[in-house]
Amino acid sequence: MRARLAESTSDRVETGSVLLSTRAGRLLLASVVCLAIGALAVHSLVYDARSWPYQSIARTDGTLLGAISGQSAIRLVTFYIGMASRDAAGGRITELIGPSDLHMLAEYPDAEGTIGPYSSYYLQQMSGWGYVQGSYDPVLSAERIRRIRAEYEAVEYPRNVVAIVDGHGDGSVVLFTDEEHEHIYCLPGAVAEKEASL
Amino acid sequence: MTANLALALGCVFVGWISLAPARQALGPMLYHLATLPVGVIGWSFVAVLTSVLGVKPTFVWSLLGLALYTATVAGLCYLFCRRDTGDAAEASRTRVGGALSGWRGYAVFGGAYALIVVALAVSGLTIAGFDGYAHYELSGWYLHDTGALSVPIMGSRNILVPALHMGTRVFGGDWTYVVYPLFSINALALLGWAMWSVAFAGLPAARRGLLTALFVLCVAVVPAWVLHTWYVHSNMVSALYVTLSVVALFVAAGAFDRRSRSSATPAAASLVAGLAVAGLTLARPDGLAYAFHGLLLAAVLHFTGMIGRRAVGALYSGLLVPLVVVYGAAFLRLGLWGKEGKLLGTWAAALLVAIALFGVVTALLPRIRVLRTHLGPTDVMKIVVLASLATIVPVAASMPAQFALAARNMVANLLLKGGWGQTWAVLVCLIVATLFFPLRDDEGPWSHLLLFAVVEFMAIAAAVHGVTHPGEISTTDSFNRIALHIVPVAFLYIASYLGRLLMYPSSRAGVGETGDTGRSVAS
Repeated sequence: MRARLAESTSDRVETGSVLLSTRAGRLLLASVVCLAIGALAVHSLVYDARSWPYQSIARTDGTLLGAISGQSAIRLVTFYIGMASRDAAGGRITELIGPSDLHMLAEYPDAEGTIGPYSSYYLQQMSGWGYVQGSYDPVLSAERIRRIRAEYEAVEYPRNVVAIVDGHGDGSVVLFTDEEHEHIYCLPGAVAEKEASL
Repeated sequence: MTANLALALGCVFVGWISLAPARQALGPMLYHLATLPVGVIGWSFVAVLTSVLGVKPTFVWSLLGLALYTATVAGLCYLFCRRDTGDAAEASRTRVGGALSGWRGYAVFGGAYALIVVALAVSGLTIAGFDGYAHYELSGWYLHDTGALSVPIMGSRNILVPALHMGTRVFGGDWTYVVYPLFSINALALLGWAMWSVAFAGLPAARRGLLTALFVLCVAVVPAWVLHTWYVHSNMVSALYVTLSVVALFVAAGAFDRRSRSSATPAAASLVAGLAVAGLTLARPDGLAYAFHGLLLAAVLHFTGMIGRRAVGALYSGLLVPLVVVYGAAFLRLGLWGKEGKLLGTWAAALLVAIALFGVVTALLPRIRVLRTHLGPTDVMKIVVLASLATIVPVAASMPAQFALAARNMVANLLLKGGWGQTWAVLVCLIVATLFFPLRDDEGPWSHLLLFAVVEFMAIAAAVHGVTHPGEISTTDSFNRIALHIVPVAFLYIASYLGRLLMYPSSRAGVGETGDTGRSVAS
């Protein structure tokens, strides 16, 4: 049956394409195709170098933080909270407790027409759908923050997000802020219980 | 970094073991170039296993899931290659390609993969767009933390890419980036091989090499290709699967060097094509629709007798086994999901049934003697294209405003605003030129099939985007990204046309498409 490919010669082609019936015509057409492809390759190279319309290539150290560190979108606050919470949880997050309104944490302006600084949906994804809103006062006094920072390791993330690491996180994390609403603190559940009486 | 190394090389290793029973039948090039894309699908099985058992993915569970996948694919390979006459192994010793058979192939390809993977890991180059970090990465993060399939994953992203990101986390890593440029290199290697072996077959070696290098370079520097080489998204892996499915089907149909074929080659290559279509299907939420791209090409090849019933069976086995496993687990856990996401559970079920029915139709159509007697290969392709248009036109007529908007966005993106430079302008001009100066059927059967593949892909994309979302004029528009998937095949078509032009006068003497052997397809 494969031979039928060869058998079904079309008269239309034989008579309709004079250019292909001579060697010179074929070489002319082949030259045009080669020229077009060569020109396209050169144009693309120049375009890549001078008119690159896409996001720039970044360098990462293998971490999500490294991959997005050069970006400035306000929505990244949520992702920094997720990463910091993971540090605080000591691995997989089993429960992430935030205030009744995430905007009670650090104050960032909502970006018009795009995703704002806080997204409970992405926090759900980063916590294995374990994000819950609690009714508690998320503001820590300066004195408490000083004590927590002195007692535990504090890992700083961009956008003033801080992970408090106690070395034996049980997977639960509670979100806090300072009195100035400038920093977001991700405290392991046990630390939150002890320091903030939760 | 080491997690990315482990993930990439682990996928190659899984692919090697999975396809090992079909190694002789596939030949060294297809076997080694298919290992990465075939191995990648294994991570979907890990996600399925943990989801069904309700456990969190650990290193041990991942090994079990990958072993399950490997055993499944290896079993299929054994099933379809057990009657192999072994003449491929005999033939491969007599040719240059034989240098890559056996342990030398593992050494060469394994060494190349390892060097490239290490270089990519050390470079740390990546592009983290919003979809990359907010959807694919977080879906992988969620899968790693829970081991459970979710509606957002199945409905909005599908399982393949999130499962890969989960894999990186299982190995202790954080950001998945090395496999993406590896997909790009793999796709370019497949394209280069196809150009060398099919498009420019029969030309003197120097000209053949020069033209192959020119075309591969041209694809590699296409702005969107450069972007997606580093961009963490589903598009480069999809482009790889589309390229692999077309190349593997061409191997099955005998377009490549026929000296190294064995009796099991058509079935083995079709199985790889089926796995590639499965990979494409699982890589995207609209993947079930794009599955018909490979299936239509296979249907034409089967109807024209270029691949047999056994090959069609292998193709559908390679496609349906992973799909049934993944969607079966998803339906088991989530039911027929709705509301959230781009793909509803009911649509997924309906498309799966449609794929199975299409397989039945594909198998039965050639049995209708009247059709086989009166329809040549090009007639079949024209009918399928017309049937596609006949399907799209009424749908477009029922929602004209949306289709008009989608069409406007597609054209504006590809030609002006989508960041393609002049790629599509040149491609469209060249494709139109090939229609004005068509080759004789006996000169360009593979060219015709490639053009058919390009047109059908665009028809499916137009239907999907016209019906579901018209998109926007933007470099990040969905259709603008999806157009990348068919770029290698479009360039392969132009190369194939060019190759036939340069074959004059031998083509006038009746030598049609040739493999390395110089034998005509007609012969």
